Amino acid sequence: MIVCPRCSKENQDHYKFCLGCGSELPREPAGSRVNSPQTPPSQALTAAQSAALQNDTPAAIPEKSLEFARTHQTEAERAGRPAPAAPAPLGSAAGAAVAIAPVAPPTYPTTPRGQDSASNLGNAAAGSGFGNSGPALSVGAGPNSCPACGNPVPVDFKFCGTCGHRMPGAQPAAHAAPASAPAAASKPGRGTLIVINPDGTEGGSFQLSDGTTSVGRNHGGLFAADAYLSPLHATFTFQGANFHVKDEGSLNGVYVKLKRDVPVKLNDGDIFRIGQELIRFEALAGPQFVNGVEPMGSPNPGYVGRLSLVIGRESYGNGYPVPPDGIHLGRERGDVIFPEDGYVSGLHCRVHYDGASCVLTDVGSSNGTFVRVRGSRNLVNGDLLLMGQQLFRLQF
Amino acid sequence: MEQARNYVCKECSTAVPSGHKFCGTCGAAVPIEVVELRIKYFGAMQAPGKARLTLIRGEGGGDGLSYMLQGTEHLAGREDGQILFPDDTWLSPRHANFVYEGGQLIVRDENSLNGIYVRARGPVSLGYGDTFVCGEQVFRIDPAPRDTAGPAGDQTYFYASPRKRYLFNVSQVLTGGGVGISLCAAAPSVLIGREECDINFPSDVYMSGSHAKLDFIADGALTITDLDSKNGTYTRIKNTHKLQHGDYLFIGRELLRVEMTG
Repeated sequence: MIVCPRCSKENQDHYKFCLGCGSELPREPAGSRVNSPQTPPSQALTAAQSAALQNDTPAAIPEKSLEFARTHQTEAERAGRPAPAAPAPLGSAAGAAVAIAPVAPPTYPTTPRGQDSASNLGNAAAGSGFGNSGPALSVGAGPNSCPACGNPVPVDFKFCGTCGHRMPGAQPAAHAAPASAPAAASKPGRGTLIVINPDGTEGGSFQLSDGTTSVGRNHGGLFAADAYLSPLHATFTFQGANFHVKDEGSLNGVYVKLKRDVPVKLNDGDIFRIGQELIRFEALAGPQFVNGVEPMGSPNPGYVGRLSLVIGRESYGNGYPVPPDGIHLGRERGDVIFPEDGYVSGLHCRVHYDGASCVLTDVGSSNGTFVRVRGSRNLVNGDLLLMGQQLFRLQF
Repeated sequence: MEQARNYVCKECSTAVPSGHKFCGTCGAAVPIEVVELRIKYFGAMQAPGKARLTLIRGEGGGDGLSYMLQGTEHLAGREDGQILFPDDTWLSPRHANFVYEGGQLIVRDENSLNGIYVRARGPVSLGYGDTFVCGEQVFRIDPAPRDTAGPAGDQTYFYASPRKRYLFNVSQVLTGGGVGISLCAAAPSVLIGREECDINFPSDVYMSGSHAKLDFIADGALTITDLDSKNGTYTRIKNTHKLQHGDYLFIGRELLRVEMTG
């Protein structure tokens, strides 16, 4: 509770401005954290925090966890031992799997992981308790910048938090890449699918040969155990200089991560994923008169489409129409919010009408916005793909 | 000096008690207009048991217009009948009929497309497919979506968004067809209003802050209760509905108030 010094109104702890008079509220005593879990601590990350940056981290972390993590990190540093895990945040993998899909294998990690935007250091720090396997890295000086996208990357990072580019000079993580991908992995190929582990390190890899490579539950060790992959899920094909992925009619599809702030067109029936949420876009039909009589209804201010939550095969939960000026989706900000999904960023993405069609834009989410491939599409080096339970980085 | 209190016989000037048809003294007939005299109202609008519809809000203007229901049937619609609103595209050519049945005014839906909505007095029962109006918004109640997320025939698990056990679905129906907001209710009560409700319409100036409440009773059985909203909650009638003084009803975009006389 912050009492406004000007008008005496009581404001919630994380408010920066008074609800009553709009004046800026006093911050908490010096050295204390900034209140919003959204707001990154601007400098001097602790070891565990920067380690957490490697992890993909759920965005919504109760502040208590944040405090917990900090306190214990400090203690841990003093004692020279790794930081203990914070209490499981909202929507941690195991909890989520139970709550969401009782039929799902308990180990199912429901969320794309492995990348984090540099702008969301706060979230990452807050989530340090989540990826409890992350080794504590020492913190270096100022950040480098990513040669691929130009965003700042802390020195110890092996990959750019924004685009996933491998930083020059980075050594493969000690426990990563166990070269466990049997059979196919040993063949030389033109491209590689690299598993991104939940803690952000690289896991096994899968070689993509010249020509066409099939991927699915019946193809290759990396995919065999994944109950969310169809027996034949997708094919990857090199054709000249182009490389494309084709969804072979799989149940759960192939998702490609959007580039931040780059709008992509949404067509009727397109599906995208943010955090644990699967959302379908549908176009809205114009008015349908029946024998010259207009069906009565609510005013339509020119809605350009509609978003529905996918909760089963051909089964949809809550839905929201999209006005021409668009709607924002986020965990706690925006027009449509997902307060229970810790993998959705505070403000995650936007759907709006650009004058010709509806477009989807990731507005700097931590975990990304993924769009399902319809038919086939071309891929570029570094694309992040979501197939079944796993997140892959494509390298060729 | 006093005035005679009754009819005075023109033949013998004797007073004839009221109700008698002949003079008791001379037997002369009392004129028929005297015997059958009925007190008249100054105007037809005073006629007892008859009703008047007042247009509260009309599509083509004409607010405050009154329609006297003096006959036995009064057809309303866009093209056909005595109560015409030619500009209202929500009205069927023949839409509603106001009829008297044994002194009771009844409104009957003439198989119109959009139906007749009557302002709720107290909780009103709703079932799947039923529609209602709050503010400018039209809603429909539907069954909760089916849970179809089980494994496929080839044993592939389907990935679906986190979900709960839903009881029912309430959707905003857009003009011209189509669905706007759709809410799957996991709790038995759903609040509809302008803000801080489960479904909010911040820009609907006819919607009260907390406007109406839906309550789940059993599968396919709900009630809606108006929460003392300014403009009321309207539910669609099924076939016929008895009207009483002070009832409000929507036919198309026309809002009418029922006033019983006498």
